[in-house]
Amino acid sequence: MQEDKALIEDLLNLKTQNTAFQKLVFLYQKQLYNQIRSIVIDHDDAHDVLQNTFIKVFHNLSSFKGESKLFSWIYRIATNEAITFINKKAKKNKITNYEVVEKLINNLESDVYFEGDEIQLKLQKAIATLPEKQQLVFKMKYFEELKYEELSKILDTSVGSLKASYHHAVKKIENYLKNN
Amino acid sequence: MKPFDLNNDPKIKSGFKTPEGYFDDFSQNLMARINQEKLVVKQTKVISIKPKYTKLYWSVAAVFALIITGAFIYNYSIVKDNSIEFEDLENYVSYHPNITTFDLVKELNNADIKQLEENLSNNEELINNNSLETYLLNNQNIEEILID
Repeated sequence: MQEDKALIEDLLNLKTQNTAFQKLVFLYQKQLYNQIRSIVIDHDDAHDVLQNTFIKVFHNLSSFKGESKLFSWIYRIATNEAITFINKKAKKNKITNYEVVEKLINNLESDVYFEGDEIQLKLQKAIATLPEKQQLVFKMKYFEELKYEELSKILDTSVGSLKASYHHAVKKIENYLKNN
Repeated sequence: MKPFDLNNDPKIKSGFKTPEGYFDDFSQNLMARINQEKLVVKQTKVISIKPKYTKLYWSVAAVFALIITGAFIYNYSIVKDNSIEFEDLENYVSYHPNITTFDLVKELNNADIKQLEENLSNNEELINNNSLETYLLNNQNIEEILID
C-alpha cells in the first residue's frame, strides 16, 4: 500500500505524471491484457478494451481512495470494461452474452492469435458452457492464479461464494473434457 | 481415458497469444492517444466562441419573459365584477345536495334579505292563485316540493 501511495502521488503530480503512468502501464499491462482477453476472446477487441481501461484509470486516479490495493482497483476496472464490451456486442447483435462468447470460441480455431492445441481449445469450449460468473471466477483463479482474497475485492463477492463457484466450475469442466 | 483433475494436473494454458512486440509498443501508443485527447480538449476550450456570460444572459432573459407573461396572465384573469355567475352558483348547489335551505339562509345578511323581499314584492303580482295552482298541477314532484 505504501508503494501504491508513492506511485499515486507521482501520478497525481503533473510534473511526474507521464513517467509514473508509463510505469503503471508497464507493471500491469500483461496481466490486465490476459484478464481482458480471457473475457473478450478476440485480440483486437482485447487491445481496445485494454487501452480504454488504462485511459479510464488515468482519468479517475484522483477518485482512487486507497481503500484497496491499486492493482485490485485497476483489475476491477479492466474486468468491468471487458464485461461491458461483451454486453454491448450482445445488445448490438440482439443475442445473449452467452451466445456472443460461444460464437467467439467457435471461431477460435481459425484465430491468428490463438496457438492452442486440441486440449487447450477444448478447455476454452468447456469454460464457455459455464454461467457468466463462474466463467469469470474460473478464469481468474485458474489462468491468472489470483488468490481468493484478491478475487473477493475485485469481484466484490465473499471468499466462500468464490470457493463454491470455483469448485462447481472445475467439476463441470472436468465432466465436459471427459465426455467430449 | 484418464479423467481430468484440473487442480492437480499440470496447468493447461489459455492458448492466447499476442502480435510480436505488442507489449513493447503498447504503452507508447497509449501515451500518444492520451496526449492527443488532452490536446483535443485544450483546442475545444480555446476555439469556443460563446461569450463568458451567455448562460447568465439567457437566465435573465428567461426570468424577464416569465415576469411579463405572468403579469399579462394576471391582468387578463382579474375578475372586475366580484359577483359569482348565477349559473355557477346553481350548479354548485345542485352538485352539493347536502346543502340545505337553512345553510343558504344562514349565509344571508340583512342587505341580502332586503333585496330578496324587494324581488318577491316585485314578482308578487305575477304569482296569483291561478298561476300557483297551474304550477302545482303540472309539476310531477309536488310531494317533494311540499316536503321541502
